[in-house]
Amino acid sequence: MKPLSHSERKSLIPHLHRTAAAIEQILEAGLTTASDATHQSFAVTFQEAARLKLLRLGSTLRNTQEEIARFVKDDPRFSQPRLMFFLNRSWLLCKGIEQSLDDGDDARLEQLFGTPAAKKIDTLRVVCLGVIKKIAAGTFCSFEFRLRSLDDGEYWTWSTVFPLRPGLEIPPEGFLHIPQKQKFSANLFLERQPIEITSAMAGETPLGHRKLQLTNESTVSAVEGSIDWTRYLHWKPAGARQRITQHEISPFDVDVELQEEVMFDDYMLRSAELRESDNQHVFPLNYLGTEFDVVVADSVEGESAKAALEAQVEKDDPPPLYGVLHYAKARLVVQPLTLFDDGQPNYITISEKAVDRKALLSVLNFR
Amino acid sequence: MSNNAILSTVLQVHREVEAAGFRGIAVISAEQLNWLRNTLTAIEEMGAEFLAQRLRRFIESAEQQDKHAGARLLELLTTLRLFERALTLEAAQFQLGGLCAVHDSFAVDNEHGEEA
Repeated sequence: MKPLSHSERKSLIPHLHRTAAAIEQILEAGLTTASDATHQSFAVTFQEAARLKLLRLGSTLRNTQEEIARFVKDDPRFSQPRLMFFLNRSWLLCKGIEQSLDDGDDARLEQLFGTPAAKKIDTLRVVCLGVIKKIAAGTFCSFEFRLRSLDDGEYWTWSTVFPLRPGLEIPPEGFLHIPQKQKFSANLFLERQPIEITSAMAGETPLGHRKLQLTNESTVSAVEGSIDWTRYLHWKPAGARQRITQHEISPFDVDVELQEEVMFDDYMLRSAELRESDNQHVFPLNYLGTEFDVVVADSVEGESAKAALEAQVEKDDPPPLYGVLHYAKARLVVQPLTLFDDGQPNYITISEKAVDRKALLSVLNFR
Repeated sequence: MSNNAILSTVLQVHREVEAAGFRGIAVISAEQLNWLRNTLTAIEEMGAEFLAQRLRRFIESAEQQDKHAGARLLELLTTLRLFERALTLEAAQFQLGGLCAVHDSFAVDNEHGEEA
């Protein structure tokens, strides 16, 4: 990103200072005392962060404001740990950016701004290995497609988010049929065909994840060609272990930051237990003697994956399971995404319930 | 003390400190402060000196209700998060280490099987 000018730096510092102080005051006096002045401080700093394109600070402050608003409105979606997480993160960012501006430490500023550098790509051919589905009831649903380049085998992701109206009757998968700005529907990625993307941008996070960003000029289309899915049916845990060894822990790490795509081809799955503290069903999975927690949300978000996994419990020869591994509370945690039945991907996070076209049209009108 | 027991203590302190911040440090009770002091002793015994120092500073600020109490709580939460992350990654590294050994021996067996 473009470096901040002298005047931008100078104008940012008082906002950061006031917001950090407001967070400290909230914690000293308790959240019930959060005043209009507190909200105002967050709002002004958020606007300044948006104006200067400081995406990480902006999104963190927006999440903090959102959670405070939920608390004030007595919204059942309010979460105390989530609020405390974002208050802490906002405070750290404000203090860290202020300190780095004072010190003139541009390298640290870049890290704190967290804006991935983006490069232009002409053509990319990919296949989709799985989809992470997230649903925040009445707010939004998102889909993150896990892609693999057919050209060089690199890992890519592409995400799309849709706002949800409270009381909306269609399953979130319905949104995958809605045309994107680039005149394709996201369900194209689920057709088990090679997909070609042109004129897009490639963002890379500090941990090396490549994120596909579509522009107005991008095209996305299915292309002819067969896919040899067997080339994806393996996983080398040594790479994952090495990445942990090389990883430098940062106060900005979130549990899912250090992720690995995994493929289990010879495993035993046992019945799920409900872990109420995390609102998750946990299927214990044993792979070559090592235990993993395969988790699905205890909500509509996890329904289809849960049903697909239940069919594999205690099976002697289950189909290969593809998912995303992360590390939390000293456990190896896997989000299951795909079962390779008969050598073809079955995207288990995606419900196959029929979409009501009339309801879908009303959503299109709403958008 | 096992890695799991240490992690459990860290997560519990995290929950308690978050709750104290949510309600407000101004209304922290003597009972909560006592619990934190006892936990401080346990953390010192673990040898986690930096975490103990951060917890001690927060307890002192909360007792005196000084103007740095909010900042001390946020510093403590940051340290707890880092500590939990370090323990988690250490545990993951250990578990994956065991898996790698088995995985490699399977790969060697398969290669020999194919050769035969």
